[in-house]
Amino acid sequence: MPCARRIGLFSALVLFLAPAAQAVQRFPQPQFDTGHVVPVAGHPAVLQLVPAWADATILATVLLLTTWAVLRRRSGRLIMALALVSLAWFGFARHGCICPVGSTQNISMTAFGLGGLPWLVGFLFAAPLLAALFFGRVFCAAVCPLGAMQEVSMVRPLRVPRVLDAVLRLMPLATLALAVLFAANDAGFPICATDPFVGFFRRSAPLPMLLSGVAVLLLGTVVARPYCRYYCPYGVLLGWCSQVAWKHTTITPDTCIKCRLCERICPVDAIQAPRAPGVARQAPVAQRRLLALLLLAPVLVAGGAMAGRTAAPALALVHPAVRQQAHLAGMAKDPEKTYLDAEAFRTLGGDARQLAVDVVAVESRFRFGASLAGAWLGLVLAWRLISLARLPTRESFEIDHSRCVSCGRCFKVCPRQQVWLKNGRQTSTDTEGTEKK
Amino acid sequence: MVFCLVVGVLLTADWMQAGQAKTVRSDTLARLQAVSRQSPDDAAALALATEGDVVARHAYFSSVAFRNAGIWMLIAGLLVMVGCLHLAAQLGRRIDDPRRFPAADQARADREARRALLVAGAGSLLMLAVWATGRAALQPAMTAAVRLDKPAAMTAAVVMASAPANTNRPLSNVFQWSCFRGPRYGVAAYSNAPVAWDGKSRQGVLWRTALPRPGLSSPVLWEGKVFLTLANEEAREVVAFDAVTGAEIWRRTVKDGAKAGEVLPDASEDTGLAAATAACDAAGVYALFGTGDLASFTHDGTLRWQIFLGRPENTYGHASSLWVEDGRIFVQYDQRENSRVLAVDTATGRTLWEKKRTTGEVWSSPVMATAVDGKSVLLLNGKGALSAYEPVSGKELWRVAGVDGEEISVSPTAWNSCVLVAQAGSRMVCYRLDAAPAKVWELESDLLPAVASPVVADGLIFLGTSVGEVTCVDAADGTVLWKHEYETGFYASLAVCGGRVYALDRDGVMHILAVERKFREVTTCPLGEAVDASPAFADGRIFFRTKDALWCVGKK
Repeated sequence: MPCARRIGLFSALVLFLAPAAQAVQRFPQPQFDTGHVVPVAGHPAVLQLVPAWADATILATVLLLTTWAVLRRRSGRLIMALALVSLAWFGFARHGCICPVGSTQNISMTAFGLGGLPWLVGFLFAAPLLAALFFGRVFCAAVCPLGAMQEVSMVRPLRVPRVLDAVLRLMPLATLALAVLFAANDAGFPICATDPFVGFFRRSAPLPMLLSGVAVLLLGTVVARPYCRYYCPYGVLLGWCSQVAWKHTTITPDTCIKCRLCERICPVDAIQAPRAPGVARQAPVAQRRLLALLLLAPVLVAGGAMAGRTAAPALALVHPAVRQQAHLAGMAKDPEKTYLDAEAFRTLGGDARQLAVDVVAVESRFRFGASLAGAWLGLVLAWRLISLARLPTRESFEIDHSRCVSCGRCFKVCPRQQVWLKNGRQTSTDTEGTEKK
Repeated sequence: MVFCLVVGVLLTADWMQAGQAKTVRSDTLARLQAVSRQSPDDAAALALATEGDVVARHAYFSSVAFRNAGIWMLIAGLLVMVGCLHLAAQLGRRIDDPRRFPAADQARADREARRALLVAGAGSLLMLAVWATGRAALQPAMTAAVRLDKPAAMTAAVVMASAPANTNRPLSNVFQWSCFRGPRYGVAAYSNAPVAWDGKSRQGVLWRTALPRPGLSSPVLWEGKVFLTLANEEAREVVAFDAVTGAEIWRRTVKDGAKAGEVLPDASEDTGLAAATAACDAAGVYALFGTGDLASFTHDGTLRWQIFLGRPENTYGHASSLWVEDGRIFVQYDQRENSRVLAVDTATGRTLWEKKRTTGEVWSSPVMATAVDGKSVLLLNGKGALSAYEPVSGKELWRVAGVDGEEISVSPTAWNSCVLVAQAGSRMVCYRLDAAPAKVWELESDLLPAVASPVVADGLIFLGTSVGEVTCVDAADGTVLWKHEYETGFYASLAVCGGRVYALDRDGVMHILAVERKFREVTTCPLGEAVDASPAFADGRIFFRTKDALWCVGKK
């Protein structure tokens, strides 16, 4: 072995063992007369020593690799392999936190002046969105540990009836609105509290959370990605970015032969079938319908705002101050009842007047915020109705960019993809050009 | 799958048995530790507590370890199960034949999705409305129909259903604050009065409107308007304010009805010419000034009529407020001489009946109460006598021994067919409102009010004295349950809203107490300005009249 290499190996060994060598008691042991045995000083787990920039680098790398696997390689297996890596690292090794999904709440808090934003959280939030702006939801394909978990558990996905799907797809919007509302009012992180898989990732969770995770996994065997499609608030943002993606993946690398295999295989119902131009006699009806829905839009917005305002008192109960006051009132009414927060408040001599002032302010903010959130939900509902009333025309099968999670299943079944692979990743046009030459 | 099921059941059983293992909390351990702390020299107790602590921690960490192991097993089991299912799906997979795919009707699917979204949206709104209605039924204050900014539109049935049961008065105006202390002698029909405000920092203050003239009368409310009387030697005015914004809607001057040249009464500073609180009903507002002028305006500020009752001959100035009910205004015009009680037609200002009184000058206000037989009786406090009048004819029904003293200022308070009168330096006496009233009990105490009228709620009487004592008396037998001394006295009458007593001292500090048999102060809220007038309560708001301004506190 050359000398330089030996020196290099020795240096690496020294660097690796140096932290362990330093792990000695830096102060004299205290003397106990009670027979207490001082535990031996241990070392933190290696994973805990991984710096934040390493996580950011890994995220960026996996995002780039997934983009490459989706757009260039067009390989479902590679996407699945990357998903397993992400699941192992971001899920089980890093315990699923901090994730881009939950970081939406951090961003909301910062936006409303309730705290600073660590650069890692900002990066985790922005990187997948940037990727979606350029290449679609590649983050969902193989980087998100929650998505990967569901991707693994997906056995035989069934098609969710269109009617049910349309209604359920309103859920993520509501979740997003509530997440922003709660975070902006310093009332906690509901997305994290309802994360179904964090219990698995941390191997520790209250039983209801654990059971909800099992339920989502079992449901995920027959309904593709139920959490992503019908709950994930970050998915809403990714969907919006993906709709204007600069270069989204395509179903086929070549000319579509309209075999419908991709439409059948897509687990998230993201492939839109060709649609002939509307019949001329339908146009007046469609126009009238569109006009009616446009007139309905302000009603929906106003109704949403009113609904939000109505629900505000109940929503405000999520806030610790409001809950504490409710608990104090509950204890005053029924001394048999005990609440930890109310007990602590009384024991520590909390200022009831200040609490009441805080509660008044919180409720006022909630009324405004919930009205705004309700109005926004009404607006989105109106937009969806109007979208459904349009009569778009499509010549071949197309991807709905907001829904597609770039899982790559359509690549696998596409007959033209097989030809493309067989031809050394060249399209028929390329091949014809080569043959002519 | 069976393995996962077994692990899941075991985890569930452990969770149900041990609860949510969040921290080491054990009642037994707490008791052992308490015993050990009480006898620090007892080595055995210390050893027991230490052992208990070790056992509790061991149990906790064992439970955590058990669950962690269980979750690992569950994850592994799920992975194996999913792997097997994948394999089974792979083996059973057949190549699809595109020619056999059913044709999809996209237009129909869009139409159905559109309908589903509409139904879902409407359904959500409907569910929310039902839920909100349910809440409103439990909490009258939440009823949108009676909110300040959406007045009227409340049927008698709704009022009957939502009004608190602790009243036997007609309920037509129970959600308004139509007279001095409101129609229920200081008990608000709402339950959502604010409990937090600070006049100095304006926290919880909705608005403050400066008043151009002085006055000690209290504000009254009717359908989104606050009415107030103002007076000095230059002019006597009735003003209507917007209850939501505090903006002055109209202001009308009441001309002096006396003959030209007749001098104004020499009212003391503590009373002034606008001490009597106005009253209002659905038809209008009625105001009586210390000059003897009684006037009525519509809610829009149009003068309906004005009458002159004659200059009151009163040591401090006239202060008795009005009571309006069933188209009649009841005026207790007690003076040194020529004391009288009269009923005036609210529509025309015509005197319906007038009865002479011999009880001397009094500053107390009349109240209408419901007797045991269900009939209404007009109750007037006087020197040494409490009198009852038949409201339609003016016939004096009975007269019983009341309170004595030179300055009778406290108004009678009624509840559940009983009435009490109290006065500092005299006594507090309770009568049952029978045809021949029987004395239920009496209390001689130095804790009786001189100015502020008492309030009764949940079988408890609350009194506030001029020197700062708040006392709670059992309404059943007159037993003093508790008293608490504050530094500043009370002139404003006490009120009750939502299980809380609102006692406003002369410095403008509201002491909010629990309606309980033991003293418990909920909180205090300073207004920062001296107050002698009684507050008015509305849906989530309280209105105060200070020396210089009208305030509104509450939620937006």
